[in-house]
Amino acid sequence: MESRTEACWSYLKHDDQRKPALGLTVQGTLGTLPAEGEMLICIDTGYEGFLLLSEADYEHVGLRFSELPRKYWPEGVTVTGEVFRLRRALAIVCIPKASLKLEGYVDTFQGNSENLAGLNFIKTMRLLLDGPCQRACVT
Amino acid sequence: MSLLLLATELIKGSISKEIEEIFRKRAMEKYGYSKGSVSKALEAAIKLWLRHEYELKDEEELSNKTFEEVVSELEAKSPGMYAVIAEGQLLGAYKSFEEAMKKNVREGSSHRIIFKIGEKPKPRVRLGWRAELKPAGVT
Repeated sequence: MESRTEACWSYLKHDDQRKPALGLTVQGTLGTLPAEGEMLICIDTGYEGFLLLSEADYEHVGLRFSELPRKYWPEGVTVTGEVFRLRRALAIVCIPKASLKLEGYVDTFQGNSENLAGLNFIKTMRLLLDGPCQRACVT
Repeated sequence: MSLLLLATELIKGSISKEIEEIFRKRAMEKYGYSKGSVSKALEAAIKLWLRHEYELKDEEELSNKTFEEVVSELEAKSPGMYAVIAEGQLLGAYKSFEEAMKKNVREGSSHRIIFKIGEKPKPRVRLGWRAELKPAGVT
């Protein structure tokens, strides 16, 4: 019988709601974030990209040393229609509990303090959102 | 008693009559029907516009210029590989991102470009409900 590993995380409380989240690490030129264990990042299916990091985390992990050419930095469009430039870099993102290692684009923008996993991130995996149990699992 | 003088500059330019009327009306609604309201609104608008784009440092400009010079040749010769550009120099093309990332960063350097040759990301990304801009600030 095929054995399946399952990695699960409780929904993360943010503002007044609990939201699906994943535990991951981000590897850049200057190191890995977090240095030990994993960090919980909310899943936002409204964000089309792979991973959005706060400006501070983007700098901390050294993503300025793996940035795409300026020509390939996309414009970000908010739900209210504001358009502005994102910075974009390549990074390695791991989900240690699920033994997953992914390569993808990490975005940030001026004034951003949020970390989010987007559609391009979750499209690479089987993700179970268990609403009644308030947990997200990579199966 | 000391007198604080704020340096101001006069900017001259032309915009359409339609935009001018809307802008003047909105400026007065926001800042009051008094002298200086249009200037305040104009400064706020310019601040927003400046925030839309990143101002690149000299090192970043140099590497982006090099990218423009070498990209066609790289696309023809090494599609699918990962190119590294730092301080205006193409350092090489590597089989994997991890291999490219291992290329040493010279001390004092603050930026490096790494990209997958031939891969062109989407120019626009929807940011979803959670990513939002901070207010542009008071004028």
